[in-house]
Amino acid sequence: MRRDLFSEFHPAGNFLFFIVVIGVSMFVMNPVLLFASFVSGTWYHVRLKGQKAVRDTLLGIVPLALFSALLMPLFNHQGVTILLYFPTGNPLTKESVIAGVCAGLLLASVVTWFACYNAVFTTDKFVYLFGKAVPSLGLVLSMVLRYVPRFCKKLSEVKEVQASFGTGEEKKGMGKKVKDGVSVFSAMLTWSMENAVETADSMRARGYGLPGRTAFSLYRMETRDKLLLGWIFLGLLGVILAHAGGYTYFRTYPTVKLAEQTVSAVLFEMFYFVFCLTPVIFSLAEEKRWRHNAS
Amino acid sequence: MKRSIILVTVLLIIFSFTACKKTEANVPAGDVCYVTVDCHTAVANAALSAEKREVLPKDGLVLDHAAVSVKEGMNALEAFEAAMKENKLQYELQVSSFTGTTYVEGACNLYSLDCGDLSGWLFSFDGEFPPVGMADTPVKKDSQILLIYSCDMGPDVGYTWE
Repeated sequence: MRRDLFSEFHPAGNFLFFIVVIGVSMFVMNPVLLFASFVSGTWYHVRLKGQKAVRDTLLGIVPLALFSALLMPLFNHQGVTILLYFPTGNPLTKESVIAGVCAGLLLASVVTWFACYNAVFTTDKFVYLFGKAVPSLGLVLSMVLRYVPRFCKKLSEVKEVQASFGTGEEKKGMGKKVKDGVSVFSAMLTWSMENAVETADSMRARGYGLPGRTAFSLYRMETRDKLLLGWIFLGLLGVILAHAGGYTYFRTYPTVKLAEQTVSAVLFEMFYFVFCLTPVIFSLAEEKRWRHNAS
Repeated sequence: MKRSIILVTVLLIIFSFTACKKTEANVPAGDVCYVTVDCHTAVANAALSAEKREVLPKDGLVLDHAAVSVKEGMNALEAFEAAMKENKLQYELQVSSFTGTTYVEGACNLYSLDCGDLSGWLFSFDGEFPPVGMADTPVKKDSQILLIYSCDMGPDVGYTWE
């Protein structure tokens, strides 16, 4: 990961920002807001991870979104504009295609923001933020969140070892395959339980959860963090007010209808776009200052 | 010169044939049956959402005695589908993989359960509610196929369970 200004802010600000952006993307189904969220999320992802982010987006996230967009019209036949009829007799409607595209956009933006979250919000930040207030929950959550990647890593290790025992490469029947799979799975299960117990014991031995304990990384609430928190609350307030005012209205069935694009609605959409771009703006400003100072 | 005259004549004949075909499709020739799709109970029901109300006719008559030409071995479901496709109207069928029966889930974007827990489309044939499904009801000349939307499983459209 590259050096990134937003990641150096207080973890509370980072966490709240991701909660708000991912929450709004998940619960407010509006193509304009989703597009803003997806574009800014992808931009930030690319600034964080560079080439890898471009590859992930083009090969992973976009095909996923397209797949979900394709799936929707196959199972949903509502809508007034009929494009053609399937052999089963049910129609393919324009509305279901649009609903599919919106669902794909939602999925893509949430996945993208979670990729950014994983890069920015590291385990030590998580434990720093939740280690004092809710120690056991914080530890469990941090263990759960890194469980899947660690599990995958260990799984390939165990598979390699098993292959070297002679259960691996040569052709085998279904029964043998299942048997080998079960033995790998059993090893994984034992390992993961043992590992969890070991981690918990180790954390207790280090006095985790006791009063007065300090964290690995130290953060201070500076003025800039307070300003960021204020900005996030402003963004959340703006979305709530706009939602109450009907600016986020969108429906696909039976006819597609977006909230009327009045001046205030467009202003809100621009505000939301800028809000989603917050980490990108920080990163660009930092880069500009860096270049300015270097010359 | 002679060639071009022949060509023009042939083209004219073909054109007139295609024109004939078009008019034939609009007014079915021969034996016809009639399909009516009626949802006046839904339109009168306060539980119907505003967006669904927008796409339904004010009097609830989606199709009023739409003529469908009867083909050999045609059933009521096929006649209904033909009438809906002819008028470019939406409908959704659900085929049970277990029994193989077909259920009309929605027509003209009005779905079952849109007006409460007991609402849905009922099938009536020649003024009666048959004990079999649409796909098992053969149509004849002048058959009256009626799909009527009920908000309480029948009584409001004159159907009672026995």
